[in-house]
Amino acid sequence: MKKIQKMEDIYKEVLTILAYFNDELIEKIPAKVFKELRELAADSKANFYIDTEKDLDKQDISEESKNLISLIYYSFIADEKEKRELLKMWNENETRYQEILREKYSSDRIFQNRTKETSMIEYKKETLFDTIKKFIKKILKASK
Amino acid sequence: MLATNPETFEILTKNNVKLFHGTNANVLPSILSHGINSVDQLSKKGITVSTGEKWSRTNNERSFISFTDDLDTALEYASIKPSKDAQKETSFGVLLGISPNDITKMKTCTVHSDIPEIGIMDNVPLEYIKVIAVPKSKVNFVRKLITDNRIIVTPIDTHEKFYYMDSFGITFNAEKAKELVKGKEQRDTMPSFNSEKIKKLASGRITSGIQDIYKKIQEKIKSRGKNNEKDSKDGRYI
Repeated sequence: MKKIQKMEDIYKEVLTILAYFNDELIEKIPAKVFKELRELAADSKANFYIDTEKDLDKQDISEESKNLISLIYYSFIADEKEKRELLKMWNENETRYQEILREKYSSDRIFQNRTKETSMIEYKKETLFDTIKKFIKKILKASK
Repeated sequence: MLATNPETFEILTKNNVKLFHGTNANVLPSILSHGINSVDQLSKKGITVSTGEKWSRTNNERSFISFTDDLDTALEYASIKPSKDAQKETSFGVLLGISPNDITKMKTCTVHSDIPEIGIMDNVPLEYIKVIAVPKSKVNFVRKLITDNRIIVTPIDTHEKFYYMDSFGITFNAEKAKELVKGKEQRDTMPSFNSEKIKKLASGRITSGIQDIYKKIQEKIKSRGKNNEKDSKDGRYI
């Protein structure tokens, strides 16, 4: 799954996919939508292609483009029953997604698997007396 | 073309379209907004050229757009794959047609080439594009992209070799012409996405993702409206 940052690239990618919709589906989408997408895509510097051997859900499309294609489907192609089903699925998917996020970033989990004991080492700042003492010991050692 | 694609032949003849430029669908949004730009003009805007012209620079420059009256040549450029390794990937071919009558209104140059071609410098404005020919399954889609009703969108098989009539008649026999028409089922090997496939894609989305893209579009349309005083479009189509 590729990631796209620029909005004009998303619009162009979506247009690339829309070009392969059946005629009956294209008829259901208002011309205004196509024109808006086209204008917004005009400054895109990216190129997009369809893999002729893959189905739509296996195409290498960005998540943002998938969202926009789904929104277009919901807004103009789906009937009332399909809209209700889609909304229900999106909400269920959202709930599952939030649960996964919670699980992944829960504060309990962060500290759960701590196996290494860490001990505090006392740090003692060296005084001038300590420095002199070290120096004298060094001299005495050298003279032996 | 008369034998195999009479509808398009009639449109081209009626509109005196005799010069063609072959390209692919990736450049359509740009062409339909800004006209046809040369490779150099596109490069200045930072646009990667993925059409045949990228291989035909002279002294690393390509400041003109090629048009030819040889339909077979133009169609070859409309059929070029993105790269030799990407045979499974496709972007449908597009043939743009203009009239020789409009050439005098644009700046042209001579092109030294093995194929019969004329160069138009820098840019061909949208107003001079008379015909856009695409594969039959893409005609409705392209028609929806176009604001200018003067541009005619017509079907063409970008993989077909066209035969010409000359003063001696059609250069193939009648039986062959019949076979061509019969066998020509608009060889459209491109995939097609129906309602079930789109629904399957849509069913995997999450609410926040949908809301997010909706907000981004609204913002983009609003900001475009503020930047363009003439833009009175209502973006609230969703």
